[in-house]
Amino acid sequence: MASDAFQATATQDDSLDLSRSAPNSSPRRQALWRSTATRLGTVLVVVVVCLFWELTARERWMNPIFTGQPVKVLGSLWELIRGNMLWEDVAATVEATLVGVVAASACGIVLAFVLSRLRLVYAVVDPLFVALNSLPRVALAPLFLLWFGIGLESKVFLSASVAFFVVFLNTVAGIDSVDRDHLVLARSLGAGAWQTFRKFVLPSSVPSIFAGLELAMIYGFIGTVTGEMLAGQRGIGVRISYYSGLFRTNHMLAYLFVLMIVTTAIATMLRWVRRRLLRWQSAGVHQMVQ
Amino acid sequence: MPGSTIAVRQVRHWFGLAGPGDARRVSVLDGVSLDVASGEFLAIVGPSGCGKTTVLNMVGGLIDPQHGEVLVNGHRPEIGAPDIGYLFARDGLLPWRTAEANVALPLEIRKAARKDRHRLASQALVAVGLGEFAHAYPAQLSHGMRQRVALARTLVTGPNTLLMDEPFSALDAQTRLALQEQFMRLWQHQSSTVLFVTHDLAEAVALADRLVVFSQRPGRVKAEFPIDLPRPRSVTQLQADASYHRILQQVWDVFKSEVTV
Repeated sequence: MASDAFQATATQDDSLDLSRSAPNSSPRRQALWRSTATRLGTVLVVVVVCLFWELTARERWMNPIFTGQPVKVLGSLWELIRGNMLWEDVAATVEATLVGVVAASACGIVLAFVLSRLRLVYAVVDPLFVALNSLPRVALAPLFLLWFGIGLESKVFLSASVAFFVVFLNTVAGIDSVDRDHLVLARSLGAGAWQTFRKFVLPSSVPSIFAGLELAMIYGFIGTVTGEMLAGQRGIGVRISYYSGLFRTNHMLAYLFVLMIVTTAIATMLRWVRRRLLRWQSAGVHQMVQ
Repeated sequence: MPGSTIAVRQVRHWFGLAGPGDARRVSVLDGVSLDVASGEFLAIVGPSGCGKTTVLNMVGGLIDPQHGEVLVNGHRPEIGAPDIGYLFARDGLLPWRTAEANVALPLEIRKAARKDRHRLASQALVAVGLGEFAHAYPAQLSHGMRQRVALARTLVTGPNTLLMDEPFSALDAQTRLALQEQFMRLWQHQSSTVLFVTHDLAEAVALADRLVVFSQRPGRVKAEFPIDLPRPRSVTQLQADASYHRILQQVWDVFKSEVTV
């Protein structure tokens, strides 16, 4: 099911690229065929690995308590899908991550723009940021648990603490990379501070900000799930930790699988938004946009 | 709108050796005076580092002279004044904007009405022969086309002063000739005053009414030549014109002594 969804988006993206780069249809069809074949290959790899995996469990080459068994994982998944708990867990994990990442990203972006104007202040806090950013943030989990308990807040703060620096540093890099020629142009046109920011600096840092956001989302899930695994009431991480403690490997793997689908779906959505926003980046010389 | 008059009076200027604030000074301009009449096309030629771009930036209001004064229409130039159009060697197009949106940029910054923006921008694009590329992104355009978009962006506000800083120097020879030709055609329809900085003598002679040669740093006006070639001119046809080559030779003789010193 997951691989199908993945395949559909991937093929669509590829065909988009093709219509851009190949104006006549014969090489275009060829490339379309090739991309379809590539995706079928991906599916084939998954099928072969799962068959082999199933075999090792059935023939007891390896103990299924440790490895699980694909057919039973599917069974667990089906059972979980029909219940309520899975959905509540997914909602809890996604909610904590989104709240944390969105809030941290907003703070990171705004702070980056503010500090890029206040260079002296930035110079003062920069070493502190470097130190905090080098600290493995998961190590803060006990502190957050102490402060906020085992509810939503701890997870939100953990994912936010990971996401913040990624977005902040990427935004700073984006602001610093603004083209000198553009700033000269802005000045010669008499653009004020706000116009320079709005029309020159902000758009030119969007690619870098987006790279930060995509990473922040992935890191945010790491923060949330780690927090849940350490202590929590609801969430995918809670269940993974719980079922592995009970040696219910198939249930644990079902949850892992769901986690993978959720993160992939969100990453794909972000990538899609980025491509829409940054169409100008992929505009090729032989392409006419309309 | 008649072209502006430009007056540069006894301008001396220096920069800090290692940037602003450095006490060690590099003198760039040493008593430069220039007068540009309304509608005149003046080219400034000189070796690199002679301060010709500094003069241009003073007229544009980007730099204040440390000594002497610069007047445009009798007033101190204001940075970003709408009647001044700049064109640089590098196009500076914003890659996330289409050609038309790039041309409309000066209108947006000067807060022109939305419907005028679109109309004026597409007119300017048509004028430089890029009407059908209105929706193309800069990455999809050749160097020459990009510089033409930049030219349209310069002309879109209908400036009466054009400040051009080696605008065609980054182009290959053939494209450069095509753009010079096109620019001549467009300019000869209007009456704007042009201050044109270049290190290319042939270009200066072909385009300008008058040519000023700067000395090496610190820049001084070393020589001045009226270019008595009839208008309207065609840059391509000038290539086979005897009087064009005669003037070019004269200018070159003066210029040579300055470069080899």
